[in-house]
Amino acid sequence: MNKRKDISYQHAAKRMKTENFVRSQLPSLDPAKDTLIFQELELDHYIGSVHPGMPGPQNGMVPIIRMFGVTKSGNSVCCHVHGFSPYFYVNLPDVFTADDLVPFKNKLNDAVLADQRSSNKNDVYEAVLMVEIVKGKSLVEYTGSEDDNFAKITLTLPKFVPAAKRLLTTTIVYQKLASHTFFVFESNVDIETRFTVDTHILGCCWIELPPGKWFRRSQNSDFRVTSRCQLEVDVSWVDFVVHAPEGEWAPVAQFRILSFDIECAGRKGIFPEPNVDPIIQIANVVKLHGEKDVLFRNIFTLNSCAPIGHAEVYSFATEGEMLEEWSNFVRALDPDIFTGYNINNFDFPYLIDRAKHLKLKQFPYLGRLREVVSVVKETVTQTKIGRRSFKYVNFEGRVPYDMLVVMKRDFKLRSYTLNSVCQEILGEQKEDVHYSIITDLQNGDEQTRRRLAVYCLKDAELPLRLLNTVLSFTNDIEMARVTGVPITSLLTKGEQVKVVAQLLRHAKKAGYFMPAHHGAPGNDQYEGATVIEPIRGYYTEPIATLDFSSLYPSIMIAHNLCYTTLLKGPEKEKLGLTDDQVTVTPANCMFVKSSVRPGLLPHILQHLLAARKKTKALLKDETDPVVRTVLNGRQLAYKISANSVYGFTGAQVGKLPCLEISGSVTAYGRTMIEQSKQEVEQHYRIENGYEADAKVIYGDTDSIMVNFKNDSLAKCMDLGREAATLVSEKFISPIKLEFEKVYYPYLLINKKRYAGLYWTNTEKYDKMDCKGIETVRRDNCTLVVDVINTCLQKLLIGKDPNGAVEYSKRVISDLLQNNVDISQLVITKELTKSDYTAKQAHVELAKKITKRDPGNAPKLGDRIPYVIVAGTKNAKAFEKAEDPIYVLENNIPIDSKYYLENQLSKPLLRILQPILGDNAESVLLRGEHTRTKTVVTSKVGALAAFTQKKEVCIGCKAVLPKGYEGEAVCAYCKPKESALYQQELCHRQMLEDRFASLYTECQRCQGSLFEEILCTSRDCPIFYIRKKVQMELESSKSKVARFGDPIAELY
Amino acid sequence: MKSNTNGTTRRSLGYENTSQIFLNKKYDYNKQYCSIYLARLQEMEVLLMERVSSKWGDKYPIGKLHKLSDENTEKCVVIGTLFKDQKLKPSILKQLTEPSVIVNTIHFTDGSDKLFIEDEIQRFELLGSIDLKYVVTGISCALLGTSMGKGKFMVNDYLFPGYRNQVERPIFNDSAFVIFLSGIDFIHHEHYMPNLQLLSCWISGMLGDVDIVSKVTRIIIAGNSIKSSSEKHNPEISIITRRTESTETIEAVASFDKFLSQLCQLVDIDLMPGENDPSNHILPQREMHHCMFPLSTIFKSLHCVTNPYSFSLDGLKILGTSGQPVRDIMRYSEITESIDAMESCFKWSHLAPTAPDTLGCFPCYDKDPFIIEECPHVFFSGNQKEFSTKMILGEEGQKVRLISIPEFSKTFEAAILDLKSLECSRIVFDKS
Repeated sequence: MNKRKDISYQHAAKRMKTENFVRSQLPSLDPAKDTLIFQELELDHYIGSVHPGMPGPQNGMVPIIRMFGVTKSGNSVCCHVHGFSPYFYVNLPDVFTADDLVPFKNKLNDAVLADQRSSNKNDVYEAVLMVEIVKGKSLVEYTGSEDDNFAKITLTLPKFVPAAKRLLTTTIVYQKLASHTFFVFESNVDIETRFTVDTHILGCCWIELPPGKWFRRSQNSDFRVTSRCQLEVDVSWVDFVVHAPEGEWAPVAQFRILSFDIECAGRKGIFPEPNVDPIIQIANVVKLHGEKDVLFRNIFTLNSCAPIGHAEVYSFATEGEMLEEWSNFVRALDPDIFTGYNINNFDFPYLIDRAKHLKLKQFPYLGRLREVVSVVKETVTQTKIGRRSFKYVNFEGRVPYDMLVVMKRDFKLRSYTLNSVCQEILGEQKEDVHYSIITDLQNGDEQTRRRLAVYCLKDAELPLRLLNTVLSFTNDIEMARVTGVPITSLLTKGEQVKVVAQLLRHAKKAGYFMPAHHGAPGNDQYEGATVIEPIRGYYTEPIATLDFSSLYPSIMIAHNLCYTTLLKGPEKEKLGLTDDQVTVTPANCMFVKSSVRPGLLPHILQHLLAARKKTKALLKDETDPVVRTVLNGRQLAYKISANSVYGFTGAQVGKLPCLEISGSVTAYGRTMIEQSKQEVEQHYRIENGYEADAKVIYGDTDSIMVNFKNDSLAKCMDLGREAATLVSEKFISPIKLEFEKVYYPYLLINKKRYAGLYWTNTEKYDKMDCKGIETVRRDNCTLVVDVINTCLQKLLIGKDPNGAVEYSKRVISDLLQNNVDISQLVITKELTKSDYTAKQAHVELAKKITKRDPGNAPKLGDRIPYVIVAGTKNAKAFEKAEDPIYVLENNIPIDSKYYLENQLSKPLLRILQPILGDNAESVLLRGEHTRTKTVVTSKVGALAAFTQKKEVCIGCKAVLPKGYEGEAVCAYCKPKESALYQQELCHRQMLEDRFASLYTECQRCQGSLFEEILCTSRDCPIFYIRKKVQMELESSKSKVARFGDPIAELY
Repeated sequence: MKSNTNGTTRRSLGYENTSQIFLNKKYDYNKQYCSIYLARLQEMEVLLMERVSSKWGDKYPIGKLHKLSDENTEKCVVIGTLFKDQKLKPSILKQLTEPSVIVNTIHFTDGSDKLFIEDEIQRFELLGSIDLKYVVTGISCALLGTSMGKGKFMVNDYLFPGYRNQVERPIFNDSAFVIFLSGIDFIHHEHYMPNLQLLSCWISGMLGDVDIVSKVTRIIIAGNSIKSSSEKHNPEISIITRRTESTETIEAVASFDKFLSQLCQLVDIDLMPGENDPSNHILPQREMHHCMFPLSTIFKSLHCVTNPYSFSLDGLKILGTSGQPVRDIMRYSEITESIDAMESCFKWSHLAPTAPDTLGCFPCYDKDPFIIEECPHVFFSGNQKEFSTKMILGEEGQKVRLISIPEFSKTFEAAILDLKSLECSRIVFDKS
């Protein structure tokens, strides 16, 4: 190509200018006079020597809590908290008195030390620090209102907790209690949770160290600086103030977020291996949390790279230098948050493994601790789907916030490639450069490397844009604050920790101890939510939907369902409780009423719901958009937290399952739905003065759909509101049925499968709402999704059922006539392992491609796109998978029957059945429109070798006689020549038009007019069409050319 | 001198078709559009360089965009091609992902539009004193200003390639007229058959005006002779489903052939294809094929020509299009008058700057055919809302007669140009 002009670039290797991005200078702070305030982000513990002047044991090794955070002015802080010791509780019999405390403590101490010595030879003199008698109650079961005696056993080190627990429960430690059955409480609470609960620290809250109470570390203080934070301090665990994140303490510090992406120069057909394939570029984009604009961008490149306007370029002659300098950059930047796409499982492990391979000693110091290297740990989890291994890299003090993890957690999508996520969330395509081209670009000149760098920078910036759009970090901070767990555990741990943290906080206040449950999955089943049998159909009248707001939390509050109120077996009689003091739930479980003892869970839930109400009220009046997103994140967090309590009680492998609670909740839910149905149907009757008999056509979990048989939207809304009030009166507060929306029209397909136009006002519908309809199934081709969506739009928005049927017929006819874009037929599957026992289409295809072109062989982890092509009569589906590009290039016929029968027909029939009734199948699949089929002749295959191409008349397809081969049409068709020519031209005009708009679209997407389009994103709907248009144009060009030159030879 | 059937004698002038550049036959659809931008900038850069020193002197270094960086903030000149980022720009991707959303807008500017300058390797966002309302994507220009870092450039002043050289206008001793027509829209001709007949009668001299009619040497039909608007197509499941031409169109072509064959007997006709005519669709459009006009083709006086079309009459240079570029410029800018858009083309020295971005064109490889290489004496553009005309003046005394030709089917008007004086006026073919 003559593309590049002669321009010489001089390349002074640029030095990294750290002054552009280091944190601002730390203001002078005097521990004696100044207060230190910071926002805590990360919290962990380590075992270290005792700090003099702190509470707790005065010698030996002790646990020390370490908090990392940021001050208001953006300085990083590492704070060591001393004197906090782990503890747990056991129940005590009445025979145990205060006199037993010291001997019991000594016996237990000896037992633990002896037990530990047998395992390791540590010089530990003290294991049990203290034993106290405390009054309290077990969290589980109501056994009367009297407090019992418990021993609070405080230990010097966390590792002694399980040991002490084991010794107490399995051996006789103290003779006097030989016959006592020890129940252990809260021994399974880790020290970090223990500490945050006891000190009321919530995730991301502000912590204040008063003057005179904290000590600053320096290079020559007794306790040396261990971290890279700007300020490192020591404080006693009783000497700091925690501010609840409200009012002036609500704002979030400007955390530094580093988003990055690496590019590797892989070999063809092999997934990059850190021991072989070099890292060639690392792009970085830095942003402060809460700021609109990016702080700066830079890129580290191997070999020279032409400058980029919006980013600093640092080029290196060797990969080692580049990696070392990047690691320096990370340390100088001192980010709080790392983000990127799939950084946990790819970028970080690759960087660290590569650095190890290159023997770069300084590289892995990426965390905030000077002496700790970041290493890759692999954890394997067994899920229902199979074994999955996850990698985890430690960065003490920094939070790896992988957007892929966030996306998988928060969104249900067809595919989680960065490309499709961007399409779904940001509504834009992302240029996708094939990895084999990446190596070519790297091996080119500084211009091609620059091209790569721009691409790499975009990949580093997109995760930040995603983060900004879905506001996940803002929401997670609020979730951390509401539930009191550190932000890291929101990504690494499940729902349960959040409930446990809240339960512990409230239990402590109310004097309950949480039993240490051993999660063994039980076989007990409880009945789930109820579904009212749907009356299927396409409803053209408005359908009102009545919802129980926060159904499960309200049931728990209304009926006082809790661990603490649970009555088991004969306890009722034993405690002399009367019938009106006890609730028997529809699941036949007993709970005491709140008059006897208000439950703890209802209390927590009330607190959450009230807080949500308050936040929503604030949100209503708030005008600042930033504060609004924060408040909205918080009210969401409250809602999610309230709803997760029910799930926690039902999680059988959880920390504290209680099927009596979860079973009762669903049982109440079921009866309430039934009752609501009856109430509505009994009240809204002609005999009661209404225009028609109302009918509940469907109900699920917490909502019922009512057909008031009234054509007016406004009237239906009024009736809905009225019915909600009417039914609410029948239930105990706070249970409340609310009118939420009207579906108009409404397509009810089956249980949990419906679609409707969603109205909350009479002016304009809010959205089209679809539940359980094939739009996200990953093994569907996009044709199915498109067709279903269009049909639904025609049915719901257009209220045109005939249009939907006609459209479906046309699609089926197009499909049979080979008129569907190949991109819409592509099915994509990931190649996860090389040998499957069952033959699978994409695996077989991968083998085929490898045979055809070993250089482009798909590798493990690749997503393989394929289409099903027509094969021999009895060929299995997996034998018929073919590469879409190969299909395009060789004009291989598609197996339209497969697509019709295995992809399109079922979902299509499902949504059209309510309209067409039982003969839907014959109308759609066997109608007139299915008669015409187009047969395509393949360029490859057995027959192709024997066919000989002869020029035929464009009009009648008759073979042109000798001497006429040069003509476009035969003598018979000559009068129609003009028309035939115009037909061909018409097609060509359309193709040309498409050609122009497709290629310019790609230019806009890649953000450059002067660069060639290299993108091979197979997720992009344009990719295959682009190819197809080119091919069709070439063939149309030659067809048009057969008509001869436009200008006639002179007669 | 040539004799007509009814005896009117017409002057004939030395005609030369100079449209070879629009006639490349080797279009390769495997090429991409980056080449045309590259070719455009390479050619324009030379022009701009000359003008930079004459306008701003040698004070400022001429820099490459990628050399600008955060530390290099001295005032300098950069040369590149403009790109206007417009969120309303129709997008085939959006069309594919949200097929139900039908875009009805025909004007695509918005307050959120952003302007960029781009050269072979770099793109910078532009701020400052260049008004993005009156420029479009694809214009090459030189900018004086400073880099603000982070990919932004503050513009103090700007410079376009400007008017090209013009050969001296030949002197005509006697008046000679050229008629410009466009948008005959024959598919609807039954609505204004009388007007069309009026036109051919007038040309034949039957209506008098012999003084003028006898001096009409040519009629230029500048596009959309068959159709003025494209047919509505139902959205198909595939965006490349084969389309068929309507019978109405095919019939219209045949009856247009009849009409044309009458005109051809009277005067030389240059027939240009337009946006909706049966030719190729993207620019440059090739001549319409003779097989569609079996009746008219036999006359030597019918000249099927390209769009854009460049020719000369006794040395007088005439250049024009069937109007797509001008209409496209107005769609993507705040320029509202076609005559202003046409004038701008001379400042930009480009016939169709928005091609290929929003106006389809061939992926030309080593040459941008739309660069105005030589300043013509007459520049016309077909299928505009109304007739207007203007004599514009270049910096070096170039004089160009601009003619915005109205759509005949809507106005029953044509433009008539006197080659001697370069005066231009409208003629109305309306009985009422």
